[in-house]
Amino acid sequence: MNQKKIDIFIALVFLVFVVCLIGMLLNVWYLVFIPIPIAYVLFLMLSVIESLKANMKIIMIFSTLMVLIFLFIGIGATDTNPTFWGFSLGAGVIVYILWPFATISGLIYAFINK
Amino acid sequence: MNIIMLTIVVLYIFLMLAIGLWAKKRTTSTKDFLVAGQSLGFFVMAIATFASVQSGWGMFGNTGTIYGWGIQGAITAAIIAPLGFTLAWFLLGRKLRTMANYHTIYSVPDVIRVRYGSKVAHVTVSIAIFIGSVGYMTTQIAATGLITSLLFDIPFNTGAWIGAVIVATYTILGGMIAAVWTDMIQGVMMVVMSIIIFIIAMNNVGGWSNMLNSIYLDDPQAVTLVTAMPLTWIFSNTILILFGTVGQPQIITKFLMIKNEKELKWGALVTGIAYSITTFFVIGIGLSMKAMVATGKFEAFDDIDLAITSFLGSEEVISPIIAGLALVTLLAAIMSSASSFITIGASAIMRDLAQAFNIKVKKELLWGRIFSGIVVLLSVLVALYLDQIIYLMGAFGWSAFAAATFGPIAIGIYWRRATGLAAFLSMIIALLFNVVFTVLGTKELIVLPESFFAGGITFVLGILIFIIASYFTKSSEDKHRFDSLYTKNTNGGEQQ
Repeated sequence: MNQKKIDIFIALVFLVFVVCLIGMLLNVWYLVFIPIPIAYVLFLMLSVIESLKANMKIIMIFSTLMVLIFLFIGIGATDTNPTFWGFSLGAGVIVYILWPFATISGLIYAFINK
Repeated sequence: MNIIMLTIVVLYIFLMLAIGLWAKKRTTSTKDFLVAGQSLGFFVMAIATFASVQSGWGMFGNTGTIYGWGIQGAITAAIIAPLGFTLAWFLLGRKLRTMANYHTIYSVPDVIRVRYGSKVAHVTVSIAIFIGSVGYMTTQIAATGLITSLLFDIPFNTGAWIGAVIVATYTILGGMIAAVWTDMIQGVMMVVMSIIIFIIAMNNVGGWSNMLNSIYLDDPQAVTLVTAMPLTWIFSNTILILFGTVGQPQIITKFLMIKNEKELKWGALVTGIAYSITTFFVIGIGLSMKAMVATGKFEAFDDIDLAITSFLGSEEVISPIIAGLALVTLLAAIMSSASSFITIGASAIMRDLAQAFNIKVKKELLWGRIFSGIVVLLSVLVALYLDQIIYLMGAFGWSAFAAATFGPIAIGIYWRRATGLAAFLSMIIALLFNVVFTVLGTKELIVLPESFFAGGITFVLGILIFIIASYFTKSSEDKHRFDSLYTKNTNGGEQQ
């Protein structure tokens, strides 16, 4: 394993969670929210670090989708009108998009570990 | 009780006990008792994983939370959890299985021992796992008491003892082999009943859209993310569930049970799908009850946990036989979590703590069974007669496990710089913080802001402390141990 690369990932994880902790302590919700997909993608990449180049395409697709989903959740987090099939935008994205995405997220593991 | 229902319950109990007896014949070693002989195929492992996580709290408590808060209550434990399983597969699956090829690893403390060789870390995690297992079991016993008392119309204490004896019997007899195979049956029950219950729930409220409309007209915030709890609290909880899943002992040990790496491929998907289907149970009942209260079909409840018992107890809403099956399913959810923690807790004392102090245990299988019984007995005593400390036991639950093990295990098995002292420091601080926050909060010694979610803060702190401490406590021995984690080099660790 390339430990220099792993050192970099760990440093990035550290920074992301410092931001998160600040958000938790100072009640700044987006500082807690934004690190979620970032940390997730970092850990995902860490787990396949030995074959990151070979799996970069699928990791990037998954990561992009995840970031986009969280982006829209974030945009609609404080919405109060039921504009998305009975839910507010943020809640609707969680129920109708994130939930199915999370459900089949195990597919990426199957694709990478053929 | 309806005779058909009684028959179903009795058949269920007999099936669980029969599996226990069957598993007893296959359990001839500690390896069989603790990690099912490392012989599991992917489907059994995946269903057992989801079933051991989807507990009484998950199906019972979550339903009440969704009823009380609206859709906000479903975000963390219900909807986001499958992403946690996927991450667990990525971070732990292959690495742990490979480590288990070269080292004797049957438990979380074994992973800590092999990775760091640190006695204090080994002792700390063993004690934490034991207390946490009893803590987990305590809540499961309490839930068992409630369900069994509803099923048989008997006192709560009697119900708790009956439930405890049933799960203890098959787990003591057959160890983890019994636990995973009963988890399989229980998991399938949970999936099938969740679909049935969701359909019934939607029929009662005129369908999904109608239900949401009824909820919105009565409580507009219930269909948004800005309702009961501040967003900071919700997303802190999300972090704990999403990443904390990776640090749960019942998941970590499942990876040690699989027969080979090839069996990992489809596990994450199966676990995710199965768990998500059971989410239909909690969302279905939780939101439909909210809609039915909104339309006047039910009176509002002060105690949100009454939502599920009222749903299942109303013949207008659901036939008594299906309600009874649903209660058996809840019992299955509780037992599937409990059985894992019985063996995990027993192993923590009988094997892990003993090993940390170089105590050679003869007749490990026998002692494993004895300590399994002790874990159950302690849990029942705390749940029924020492309820004033239940809250303290709860401090050693999900968040404590997550905070104590994520850094040392999920990061430590990749990061050569990680040290045993850092593992110990992050564990002890995380556990202490959990206890302190729990005591201060429960005793109302301090008033914490509503946005303050102790579990999430402790989890993040645990990781940060682990990383910082690893940088400041360099250890060539720990680096050397890392180098031999995935090889047959005998210098850094025990060889199989």
